[in-house]
Amino acid sequence: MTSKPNPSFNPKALLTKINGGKTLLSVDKKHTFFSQGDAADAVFYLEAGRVQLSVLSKGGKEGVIAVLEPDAFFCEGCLTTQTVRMSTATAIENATIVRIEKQEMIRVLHEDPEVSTHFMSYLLSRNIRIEADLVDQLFNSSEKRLARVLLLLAHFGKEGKEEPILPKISQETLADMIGTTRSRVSFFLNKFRKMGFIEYNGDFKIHSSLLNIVLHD
Amino acid sequence: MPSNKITKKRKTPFDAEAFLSLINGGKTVLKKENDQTLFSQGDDSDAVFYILEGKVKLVVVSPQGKEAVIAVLETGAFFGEACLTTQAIRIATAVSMGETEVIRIHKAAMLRVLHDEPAFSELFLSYLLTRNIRIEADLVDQLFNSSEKRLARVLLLLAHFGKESKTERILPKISQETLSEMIGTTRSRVSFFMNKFEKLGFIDTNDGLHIHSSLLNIVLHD
Repeated sequence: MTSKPNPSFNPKALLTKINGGKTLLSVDKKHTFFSQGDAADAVFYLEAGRVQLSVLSKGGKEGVIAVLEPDAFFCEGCLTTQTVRMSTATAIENATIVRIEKQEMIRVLHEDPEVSTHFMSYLLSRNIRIEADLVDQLFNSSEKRLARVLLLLAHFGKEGKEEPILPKISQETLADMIGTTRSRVSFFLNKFRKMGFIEYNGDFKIHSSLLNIVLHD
Repeated sequence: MPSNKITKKRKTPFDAEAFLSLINGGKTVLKKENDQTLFSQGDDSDAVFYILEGKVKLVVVSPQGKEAVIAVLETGAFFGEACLTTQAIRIATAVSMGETEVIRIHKAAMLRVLHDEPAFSELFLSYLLTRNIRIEADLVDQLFNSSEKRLARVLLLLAHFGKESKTERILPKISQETLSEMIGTTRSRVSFFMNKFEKLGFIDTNDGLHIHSSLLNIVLHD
């Protein structure tokens, strides 16, 4: 079991193992799959594109708790006793996803060790990431948090998978991801640009020098 | 904070022990006194732990030496499970809180039992799901809430509010330092809020720490 999906595991194979109770959806950017408070009755598997999970506080503040990339599952909380969606899932670019009914997902996890191994390794890696996000919130300044999120979005640290040019992501989303305001994000982005750590004209290009913000004080 | 109705009941919390007893090699039962280290941040990560009895906190130290408690785990919880991925090094230090008994299961033995026993692997999956829900909720709490609300929430969760019939109104000993590291604030802020909660009658610190359900007011209202 590794945090990298098993190369011999073909997610498409997962889908062929599911008979009834699945729907393939291709959606446009900004499509909402479900909203916080909706009944939780299905798990989603992201084939292509990116999906954001956001939470709205009672005071109306928005927090982004995840930006998911292909091969992620989401809403797996419904497999526990969680009956209501805790967050809102929105496509932040055109996306292809598979919606799997809760009962069907439980069945295939029960019957197919290959699927359950893959799913477990996904959960473990997700668990590590959320824990790291929590540590980041507990320790770091909003400037460092922004640098970290940009580096993670560019896949720094994943050998051979670095993508220095980020897909479009709004300053609002970045602000919601790190728990600060859009104007602070704009201020830091300008600072990073002036220091030559990033290039920013609508699209972001992330230089490895941005690591300096995260690694030093 | 979104709806706090995350149910954390596991149907049969002690089934794990039956499976763990199937493991022949690669398993050790450890008994620890209060405040003993099970592994340290930076150590090689080659085993998963299961709490038979007691509590364990996971502490992360920042490069500047600030400490944060990322979890207080109780009987029936696993920890150190990140070693099952490619994570080769511990990212946190695990410390016993009070007398604690744990099983240390070598990574290879754990992978074997997960592979050979589908029912155990289902149990472990459901543990991971529950744990992820909790960490996600902690993250949301950090993103949104004041340190006062965060303190009230942590106290209520430690007292198992929301777990039907499992509410423990009197908390086992937990220091203000640990509380402050759990919610990311200073000890003096914790002390200030604890005094405030006590004056308002939400908690009672004579003879152990009693948590009253009225403390929910801090979490539920603005």
